Amino acid sequence: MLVLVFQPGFTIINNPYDDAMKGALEELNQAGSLEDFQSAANHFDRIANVEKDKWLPSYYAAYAKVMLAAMQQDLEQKDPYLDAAQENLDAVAVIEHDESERLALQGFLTMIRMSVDPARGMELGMNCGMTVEQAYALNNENPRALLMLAQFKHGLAQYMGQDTSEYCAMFEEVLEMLDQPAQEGSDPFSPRWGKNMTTMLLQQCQK
Amino acid sequence: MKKLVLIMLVVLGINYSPLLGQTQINGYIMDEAGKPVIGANVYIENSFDGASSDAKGMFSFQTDQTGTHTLIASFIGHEAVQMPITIAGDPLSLQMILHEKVNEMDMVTITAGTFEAGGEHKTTILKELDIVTTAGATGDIAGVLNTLPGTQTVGEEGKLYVRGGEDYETQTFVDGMRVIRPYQTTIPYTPTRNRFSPFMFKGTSFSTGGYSAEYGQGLSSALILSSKEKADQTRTDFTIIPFGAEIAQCLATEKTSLAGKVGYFNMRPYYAVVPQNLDWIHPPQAVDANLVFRNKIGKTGIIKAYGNFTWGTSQLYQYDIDDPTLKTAFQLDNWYGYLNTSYKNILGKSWTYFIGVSYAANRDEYLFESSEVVEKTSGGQAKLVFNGEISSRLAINTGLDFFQRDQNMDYLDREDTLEAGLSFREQIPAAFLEADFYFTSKFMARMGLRAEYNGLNEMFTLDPRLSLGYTVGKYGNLSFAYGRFHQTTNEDLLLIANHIGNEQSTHYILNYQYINKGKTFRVEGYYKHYDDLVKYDPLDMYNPEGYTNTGKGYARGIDIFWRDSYSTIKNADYWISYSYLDTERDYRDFPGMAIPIFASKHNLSVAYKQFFPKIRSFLSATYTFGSPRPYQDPNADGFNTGRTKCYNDISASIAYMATENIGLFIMSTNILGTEQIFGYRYGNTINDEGLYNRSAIIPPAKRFIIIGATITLSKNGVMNQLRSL
Repeated sequence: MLVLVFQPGFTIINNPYDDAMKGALEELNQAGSLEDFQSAANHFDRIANVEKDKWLPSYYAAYAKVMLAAMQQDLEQKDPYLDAAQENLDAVAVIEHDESERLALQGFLTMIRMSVDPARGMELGMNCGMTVEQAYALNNENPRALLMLAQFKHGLAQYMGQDTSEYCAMFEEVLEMLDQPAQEGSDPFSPRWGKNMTTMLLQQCQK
Repeated sequence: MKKLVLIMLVVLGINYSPLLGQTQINGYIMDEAGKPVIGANVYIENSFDGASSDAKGMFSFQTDQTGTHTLIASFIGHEAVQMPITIAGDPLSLQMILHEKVNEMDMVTITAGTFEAGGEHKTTILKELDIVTTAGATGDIAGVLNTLPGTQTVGEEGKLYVRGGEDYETQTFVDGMRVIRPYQTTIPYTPTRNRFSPFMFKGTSFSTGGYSAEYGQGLSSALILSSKEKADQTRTDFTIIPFGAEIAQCLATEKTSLAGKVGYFNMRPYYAVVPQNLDWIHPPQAVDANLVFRNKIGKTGIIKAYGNFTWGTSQLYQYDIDDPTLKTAFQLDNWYGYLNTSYKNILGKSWTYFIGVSYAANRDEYLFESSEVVEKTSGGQAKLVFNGEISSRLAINTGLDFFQRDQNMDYLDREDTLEAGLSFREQIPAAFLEADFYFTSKFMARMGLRAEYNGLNEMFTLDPRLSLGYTVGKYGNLSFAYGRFHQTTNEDLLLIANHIGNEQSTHYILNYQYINKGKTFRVEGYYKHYDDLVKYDPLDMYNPEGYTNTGKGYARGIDIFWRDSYSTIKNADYWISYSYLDTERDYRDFPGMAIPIFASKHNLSVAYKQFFPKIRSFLSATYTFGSPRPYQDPNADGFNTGRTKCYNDISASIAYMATENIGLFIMSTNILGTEQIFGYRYGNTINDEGLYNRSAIIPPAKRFIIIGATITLSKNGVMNQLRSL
């Protein structure tokens, strides 16, 4: 380590985007409180403002804001965050991006929106179901697409008083997929999240 | 290894920062009230350098930028603030104030006279699915809107009658363009349906008065339908009902979607089982086809096309009122085609534009035993609209449109020899300008002006429209609307008196609306004044010289609406509408001021929906009440002095999801079998008792019952894929 510190050129080789993304992802991965997620969202927004042709900064900004909305206790505070997240996701949609990942996050966003007001269930439910199905159809190796699909179906089955074991098995599947190492040569910042959420859902299954 | 690199970076960052000449920037972010803003994003424009404000509103970061830059502070629900700064190495300490954004969810809107359905609008009263899940509406757009206050149940027509206005006073628009003949042609005194499938639209705006300057030619109301931007997904649906079948196919890719629906209906097997009040020779048969095309062009452009084609035929015996033993055969054939194409895109940073054109052609053939009447209508509208957000306080909506229609009515004998013909061509160029101005986030005004020139009567009209909106408390909205409206008269009269002047109405509406967590309360008072209504002499009605614009009228009343969606009763959603209407007019052949036959004083609707998740069933029931309607009784003194009995109807439907792909449903109107009388028709001659014979106008059948199934095939087949995991 000492050796490296004495090589000041090292930091200059890294491009500023990579540095910024690394920092922001670190912040996001360690986020626990509302303030942490807000700060991470801001961080990604700052990157997105500069790197307008890259989808990941906006994508993560959206993810952090959906998490913020999900964690908010006050129901009325949720919608503004979801609206802001939707703006980020809309920005993702018009540039080159991974559609399965975008749709999976869109499905997550819609699920949180449904939780604000039961009156939305009827209309958004159909919409949400189609979004997550499509996310999964586009890439059945995307663990977040399967997670969102399983979560949606699990919720629906619970509501309808049906057996949920099929979907709990799907959560196990998601965990296995998340544990697999990233593919060689893939974008180092491509989405990896989902483990905490899946673990929590599995705990619910075991109750 | 990853961790190691990160540690290294941190170490490097700290060690090298002074050497790279970094500047410390810190400060304080507060709101208008001076309270700290937590979590604001503060950063230097076009750089990654920035920070979030902490619990005390403080922020602090370092930057290696130098020179003049712009510092930006932003926060959800607030206007971003910019501040020029000069970085020269010395630490900067700054203070910024964020103002709440106008244009957020809490923003004031105009609710007077407007019901939003579907779409993401916060003032949404009805949801997209309500049209198909409301009992008694039978999947018809007009049917479900008839459960809203401000409308009247006119059972023998099935059209929208708004606030004491006749049906022609409601104009239908699809994607901004006026639709010629939005209702299906039916045998006289039998209810019609709107031609457009509710599944094709993402949002419906139903105005019961005071509507936008973008629209014209409706004295009472505008029904504005917006078609879907994109089809849902690739899927196929089959619907089978006892008198027909329908297949819907939807193909969707990321950029393009195509949805089509074709149905064939034949009432013969149904009428063989369910007794009818009419004596059919050939029960109605129809083919109905719809096509929707969407294509995204570039990143922001979208092209839409919507087409509809229908054909129908039916034949029955009509009985003479004077001598009920006399019957004559009567046949109705109808062809209708409609096409609507539009293109929408953005123009620069803050403008969008819309170009659209629509065309419709309709042909009705009324075949009597010794004669034939052929009525042809064709025409459409071309429209150009610009929408701009000039600032966060000012939005502009402006454009031009041109409407044209040709109408032709020929009277022929059965050898197709023309005996008489009537026709007109109407052309209306128009321009409109409308501005939304937000004085504050709580108070706004919408000011509009519509100019029209009518080529038929060579009249130029200038109609002002004004709405004001004011938020009351957190969830309430108070609004006022004023507007003047012009329209050429009913086409039947226009065929005779081609050059008769426009009719005019003026609306004043005061509305209060409260929406919070699934609960909606709305109360609206209105006054509508009619001028220049067309009058004629009933004894000389085919003489255009006898037509004048000397009629007048008024309508005033109160509309109340309450809805509770899934918030009080678990899995239940209901709404209650009540309308009070006081109206009189002196028009057409009226001898003086009188209540028109379609107007009833009190109208009440209660729509209730309950979902039973455990048994996967959905129950819907609707109760409709209408107080007595007037009718003209030649056996009594005075004009329109007869009164029908009250109208009562309870309709119900049950839908059951048998599997994920198969749905079964049953629905029935008037389940109690209550006698429903809409009015009376009288004969032309006096009978032995010195009176005119009459015949009650009643529904074509006591009940309308449908049992059916829907099968959905989704190409994604996700469930199958899941099992193979």
